[in-house]
Amino acid sequence: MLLKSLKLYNFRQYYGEQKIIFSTDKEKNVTVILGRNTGGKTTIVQAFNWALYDVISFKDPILLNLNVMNEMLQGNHEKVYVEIELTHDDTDYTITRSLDYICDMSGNIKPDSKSISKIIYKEKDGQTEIIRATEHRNTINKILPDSLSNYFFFAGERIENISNRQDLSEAVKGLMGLNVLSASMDHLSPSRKNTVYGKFKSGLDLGRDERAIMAQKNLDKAIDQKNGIEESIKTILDEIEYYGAKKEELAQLLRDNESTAELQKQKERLERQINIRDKELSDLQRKLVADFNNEHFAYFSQVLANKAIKLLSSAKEKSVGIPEMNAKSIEYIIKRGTCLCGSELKEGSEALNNALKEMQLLPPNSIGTIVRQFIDKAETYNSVNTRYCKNVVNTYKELRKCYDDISNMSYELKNVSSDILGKKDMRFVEEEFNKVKYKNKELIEKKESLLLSKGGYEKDIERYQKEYDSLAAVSDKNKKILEYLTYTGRIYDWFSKTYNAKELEIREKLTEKVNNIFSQMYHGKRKVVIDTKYKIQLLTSFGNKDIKSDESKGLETVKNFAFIAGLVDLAREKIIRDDDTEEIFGSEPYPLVMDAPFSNADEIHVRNISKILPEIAEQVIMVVMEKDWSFAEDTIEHKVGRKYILDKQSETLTYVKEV
Amino acid sequence: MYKDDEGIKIDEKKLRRLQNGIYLIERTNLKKKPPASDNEIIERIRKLIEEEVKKCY
Repeated sequence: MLLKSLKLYNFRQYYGEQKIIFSTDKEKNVTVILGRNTGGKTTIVQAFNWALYDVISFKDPILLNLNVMNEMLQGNHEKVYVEIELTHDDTDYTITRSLDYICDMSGNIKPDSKSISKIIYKEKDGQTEIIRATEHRNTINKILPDSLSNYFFFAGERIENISNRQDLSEAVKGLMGLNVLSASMDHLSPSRKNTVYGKFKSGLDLGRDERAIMAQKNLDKAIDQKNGIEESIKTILDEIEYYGAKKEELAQLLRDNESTAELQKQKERLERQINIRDKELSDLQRKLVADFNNEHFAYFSQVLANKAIKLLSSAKEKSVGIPEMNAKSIEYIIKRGTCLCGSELKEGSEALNNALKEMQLLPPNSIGTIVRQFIDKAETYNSVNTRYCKNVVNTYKELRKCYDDISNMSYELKNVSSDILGKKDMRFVEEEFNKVKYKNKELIEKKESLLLSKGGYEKDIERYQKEYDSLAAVSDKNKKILEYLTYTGRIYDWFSKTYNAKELEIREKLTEKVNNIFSQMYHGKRKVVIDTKYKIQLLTSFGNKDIKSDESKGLETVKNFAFIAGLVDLAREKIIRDDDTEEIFGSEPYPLVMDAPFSNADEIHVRNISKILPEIAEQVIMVVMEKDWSFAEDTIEHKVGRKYILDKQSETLTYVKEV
Repeated sequence: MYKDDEGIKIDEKKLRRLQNGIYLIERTNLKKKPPASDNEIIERIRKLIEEEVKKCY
């Protein structure tokens, strides 16, 4: 596809009719349109989107030039249109989209109806035809699929609009010329009734043969069941892809936030330990209070007892009298007349004298034994008290240690919490990761199970088909139809194998080209991978693995450039079938229309990109700011076939001038 | 799905001619504005197969 011209009539700030003719020269294939900020650069690219796809992304949806609007009187109509002339597949197209505005009786200006599209094409023989309105969308999508428009009409400043989640596979395959193969498969398919195969099959005459009718029913049922399973497998594969990507995303997040996860684990540990110590502290407090309540007398009396022991120990009154004995006991013995040892206590006897001597050492005559007894009791009492006091002191020491531990851990917790503040809670990420991992595993198992079932149905289909064919081939008519069916099946197989092989080849070639171009544009080391839906990812080597890492806007720009450049380059190639037939799977060259392509790229990238694009694209149309152009000019000037300036006169008036 | 060569002899040249013929039908149709309906294309391909298979070379 080559763009020949763009005509704007009262479109946004472009007053009246203004035309840009694009360079279609093979050597000087670049058209440059220079403009300042808010000069109308983005409007040019948006004009393409509106004319082709009826899509606008202006904040203000009014397309009519404001100067024209201001001059409208009640009842007046004014038109705005965009006209594109292009060549595609040897056919010249003129695509016009227009919109009528009316100023109503209240002075409000609004669209009179929806926008109208008109497509005229001119064949090689000069005949012109108008395409029916109902066919416009298909025609435009054949020229340039809507889903790829963000790549071919590239808005550097709105890079976030390029969705990397869209399934581009159908659009890319259309671009690469695989749509002929896929259309053939659709029309031949043995799996559906409204196909060539289905039509032949419905012509088979089974007569009244019940076995043949039953075989046909069984066959149809098995085919339906197999188709159902294939649909389920397709859905599950999509889900596996989704969950696989999600798992990788979460794994990456966990890797990037490993330190945060560690901190969170530490925080949880500290919180647990503080809880435990808190409980221990409460228990110790209770024990201390209980012990004190029970033995507080001992606690306070110990001091007094010690003092008493000290005082009494130094007293002279300590005697060697018999402990627990008093004078009355001796009096009794004397009165009895017989000593404990059996001696008679007669007057003047030695035994009596000893007894009397002993009496002098006992209370009430002497308090020595009492003192000694008291000291003994006090010492015994004290040793018990000392044990008790030691317990209290130990309990108190433990309690203090608890306080200190809790205080230290709380301080550590505070520091850890402040480090974690503002960061993602990795516990939830980890939980989510485990859930997704499990789901992925589940889906894979389900897929395996479905594949097994599918295999089973395929065997059934083969069996029923054989049975059916042998029963159906009783008449000459049926024999002929079976022959047609065999050829149809073989032809379908051939288209299917060729399609799969070519699609894989295209994707591999595209990946190679994109990587090659990317490495020329980007100064770092990254690898581009393209999946079955033609979504692109950048991977970095990390150890012995390739992982996805963050992309700055600049890197995203270069990535998307490389993808579209790879696509355009590939579309220029003709993919030739590897047998000896004459047919060629043709494709088309494509232009690149870029609004502010360098806005997120640095000097080096600007030069690299400028060098590569004119080599790869058949036609390059750049709408750039003058300051960005200064980086690219030296590299690309010799490729410029046409140059324009957007002369901004006011906020509502810009003129396009060729330089 | 179909009887693969068992009892039915496939003429490889016919097969190739049919592959090319069907490809041409589809390619031409995709270039037409507007393209023919699915039913029309299916009918054309069906007739092509019938005629080619019936031919004796």
